[in-house]
Amino acid sequence: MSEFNFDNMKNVDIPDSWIEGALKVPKNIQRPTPFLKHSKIIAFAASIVLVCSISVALFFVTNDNPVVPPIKYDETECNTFAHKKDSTVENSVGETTRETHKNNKSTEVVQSDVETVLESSTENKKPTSFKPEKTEPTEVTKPTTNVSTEKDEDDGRIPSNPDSAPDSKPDSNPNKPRPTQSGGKPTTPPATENGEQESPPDPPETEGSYVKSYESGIITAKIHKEDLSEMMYCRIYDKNGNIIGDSNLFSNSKRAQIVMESEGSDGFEQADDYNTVEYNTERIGTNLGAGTYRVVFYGKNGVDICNGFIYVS
Amino acid sequence: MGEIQFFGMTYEDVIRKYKQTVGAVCVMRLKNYADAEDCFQNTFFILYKNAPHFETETHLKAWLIRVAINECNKYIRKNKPFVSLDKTSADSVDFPTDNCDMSWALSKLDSKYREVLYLFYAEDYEINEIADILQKSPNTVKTLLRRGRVKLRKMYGGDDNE
Repeated sequence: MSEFNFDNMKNVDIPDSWIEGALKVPKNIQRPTPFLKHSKIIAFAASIVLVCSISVALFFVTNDNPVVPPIKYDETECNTFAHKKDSTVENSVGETTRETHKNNKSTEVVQSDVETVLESSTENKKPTSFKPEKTEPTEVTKPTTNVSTEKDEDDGRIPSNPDSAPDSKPDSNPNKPRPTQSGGKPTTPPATENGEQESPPDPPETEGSYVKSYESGIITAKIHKEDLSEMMYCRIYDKNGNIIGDSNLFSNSKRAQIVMESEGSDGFEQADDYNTVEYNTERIGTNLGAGTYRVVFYGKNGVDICNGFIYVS
Repeated sequence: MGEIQFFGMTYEDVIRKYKQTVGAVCVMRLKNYADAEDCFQNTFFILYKNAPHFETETHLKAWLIRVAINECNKYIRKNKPFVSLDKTSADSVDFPTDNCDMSWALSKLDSKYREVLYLFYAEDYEINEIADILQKSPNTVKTLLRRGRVKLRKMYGGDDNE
């Protein structure tokens, strides 16, 4: 097609009127600059950013409860927290006991994570201000038979323990609100108008494991069979919450002995479900001075089985 | 108007330089002088209003052709229901019949072939450039070019295989 051409079409006669008409353009025409081309988009984005920033600012200004990061508890706090959670008032000895950890049988933990497991094993996740080291003997329910009575009979002295509610009886019924929920202190009956305290209702029989007695350096505890672990350990805290002796949770010095298989021969109907666990305080290596101590029995997985107080004179 | 410069050319210089190209595209597309004049002026007005940045002068020329085709398409779409037969016959373009000049034959073709053939043979654009201007794929341009040639041969009494 080289011999052919499109000259007629290429050389279309363009009148001057077309050019004049093309030159008649408004002089004050507004040409969009690159920025103004997207001015609407930019303005829209800027307005969104402005609204968001104002909302955030108002949120922080008007919020009375500032956002705080999750509280990380140290080991002591976790321990005390777990103790508090499982604490109940024991009726006969004036000691606190804990309920059985029926749901924690399959929990596998390592020693470093014991506190975490303790925390997760409890029902109430929120820590309170309970501090066992701050628990004064006077705040605990009245010690009776096994400890205080023996002390009274031995040296005739009034034990330094408490006190406060001599007629109060413990309540370890799991279906009933625990008296130690508020700071580990036993609940006191409401005062009457005359300032006298009403006697609490008769508590149901104790079903959980509990620290039974302290005698001749041996701490005895009744452990429910469902709570009983293959290896039992015992840890003793002084009134300040410090661990006496080795701090290792599973050291040999902490080992307690399962001394007796209860067979119901002691006349108690529920005795069939309990074993006696003893811990000789001489294993600590240091003598316990006079005072009040907190005792915690726990199993091989580090779960707190029961705890209570002993009074050494 | 002196503030606008395109490669050292003023707006008026650009019009005078590319009037033939833009005008030919409009006339070829619309086959009507009156309509072509509107599209011609709109094309340069858009150039003046937007004043886009061109990397090369070739880019400027291609841009003008592209805008002229768009304006023609817009005009056809807008005025299609109202085209007057009297007006069309009065201002229609009739290229003289010439054995060597194929403008008249080209004007008889469908617009999609006409544009491709014009850009390829008259403006000497490459297939890829035509594809960019018409916003079609190169294969589509090749197909249109081949079919357009066949149609031109038929107009001149030739065979499809010639």
